[in-house]
Amino acid sequence: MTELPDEDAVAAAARAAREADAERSRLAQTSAARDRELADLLEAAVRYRSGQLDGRCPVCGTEEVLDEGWVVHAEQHTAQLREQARALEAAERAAAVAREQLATIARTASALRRDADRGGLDTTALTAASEAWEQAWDRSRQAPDALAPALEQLMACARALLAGAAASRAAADEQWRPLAEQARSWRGDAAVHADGESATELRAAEAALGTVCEQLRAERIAPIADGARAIWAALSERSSVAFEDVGLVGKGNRRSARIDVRVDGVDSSALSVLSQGELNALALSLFLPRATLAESPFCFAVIDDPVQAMDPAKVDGLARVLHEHADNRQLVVFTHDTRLPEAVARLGLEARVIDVQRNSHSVVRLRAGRDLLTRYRDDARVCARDEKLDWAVRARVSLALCRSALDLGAERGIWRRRLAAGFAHEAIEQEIARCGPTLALIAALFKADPSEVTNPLRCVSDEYGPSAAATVRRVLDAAHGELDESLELRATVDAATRLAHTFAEKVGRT
Amino acid sequence: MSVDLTVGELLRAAVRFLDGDRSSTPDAAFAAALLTREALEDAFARWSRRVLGLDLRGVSGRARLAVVEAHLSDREMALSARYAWHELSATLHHGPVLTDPAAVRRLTVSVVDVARLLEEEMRRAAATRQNAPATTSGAA
Repeated sequence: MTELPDEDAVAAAARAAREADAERSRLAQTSAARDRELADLLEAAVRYRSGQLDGRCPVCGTEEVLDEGWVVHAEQHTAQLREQARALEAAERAAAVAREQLATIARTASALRRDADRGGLDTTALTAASEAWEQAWDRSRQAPDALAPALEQLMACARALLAGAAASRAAADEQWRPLAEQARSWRGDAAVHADGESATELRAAEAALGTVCEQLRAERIAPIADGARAIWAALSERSSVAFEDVGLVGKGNRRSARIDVRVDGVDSSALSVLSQGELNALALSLFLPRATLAESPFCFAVIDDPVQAMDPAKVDGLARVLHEHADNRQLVVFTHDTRLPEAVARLGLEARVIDVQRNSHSVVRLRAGRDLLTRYRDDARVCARDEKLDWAVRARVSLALCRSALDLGAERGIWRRRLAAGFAHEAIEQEIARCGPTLALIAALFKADPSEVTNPLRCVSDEYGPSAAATVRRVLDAAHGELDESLELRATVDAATRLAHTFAEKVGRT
Repeated sequence: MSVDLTVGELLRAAVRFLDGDRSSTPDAAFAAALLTREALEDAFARWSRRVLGLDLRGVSGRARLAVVEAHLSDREMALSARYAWHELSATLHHGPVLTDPAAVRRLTVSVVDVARLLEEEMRRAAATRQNAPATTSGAA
């Protein structure tokens, strides 16, 4: 059960908060805020005056009024005003620290309430006090005086609850004690009657108790096994391995998990038959239901590189499983494998992607993850417009990025079309790997059998117009080092990246 | 009018990207990898033209590498070129998310060495061609 800070600590924090608020209020009543504004104004005026030689006031127009004497006086006055404002700022900081101290104490009561709820204790009074505290916190900017009493009330309720819980526990102990005494007396009787009829009954009772324990254990693990089966089903598309059951075997400190699988209908042990990718999938199938049990105290799970060694079909299943479990838990997934964010994007699943970028000298930078195609597009556009670079460098880099975008767009289009036509993930991945250069990918985008395409650019021209085909040609020429100074770089980059997105969205019959 | 960057200019531009100099392109390491591979492929094409008399314009980078590997007498250099090209291609294939700036810098340095050695071979080949008629006439 959560421990609470003692009454003296609460009283001291409440007193400190009251005093800090009182000081802040007192100074706020003074002209400190106005002093701060006036100091800013005077400093600006002194700066203005340093560039003027006639000493003329810019507000009223009076000649020779802003002389050296005025400057000295203004600077002294500014320093004085700053000093007064500093006291107010310090008081504001102290009040904020005191408020945070109260919030820290209040959090212990919230933790206690969660524990008490789980333990089935009556938390009505504590809940009401918590709500009162939260209301006081929300209003604390306008009414800071209400914060300390609300905390004191909250902590009083928390202490009462804790005392009640301790009393209940003591009462429970009292109930157990006579039973324990009785059991102890049985030990003596058992020694006397070890070989008698009652000993046989005792052994039978012990065996029955063992059976009940096994049943209870099986009941506890059943939801995990059910969840594991469901996840395995999502991750094992086209696998010949069926997940049967999971259970605990052994006694005391020699317990282990027993995982039953069937390979092509024959019983087997998981560890002896599964590939590395399947073992990863199985581990995840067991981990996720356990981590997301209702009684688990953790509201999040961190998974490191679950995609490792998974075949393409499993990656889509994994993305769906993670998305489903993220409904009631925060899931943090680390991966080096771009197939997972690709699958998330392709399946339209909601997820926050963060790129962890390691720069020179191991400087790590976090950036909001962008879709790779968008990233190519944005980079190509930025580079094409970067006047600090030579035109030829801009052209080489931005058009190379356009080529990467066209390749990726075509790959995505192939994925969409082939999946819609019922092709297996592995077959699509192998086909894309075989394609190689841009034109081969474009050919595969338009035909299920790319060898039927003699001129991929003709396909582009027929579908999207001659200018689209010309754009692809210009990008490919640039990739071979053939750059023409008359090239409209920005327009070409815009057209090529638009075309890449169009490729990516391409669906239809293959 | 055609605008051509030399191999050296491409590599210098790649290093500037890696140094974070002058460019506002966000994925600078990836841009550097792009330029480095282009520099390597240009070096292959230039070597083929000058030493073998083969014009490889419009030919893929993989094919250019194959030509250089098949005809280069220095096997160690051929291996370095092959390694750099494949590593750069893998980097570009995986996209900017996984691009390691330190690895790109190492590859750029390696490509600078390969390009320098190819240049030396070109000079030697040119010198041999120049000397060949003189030797023939001397013998005559």
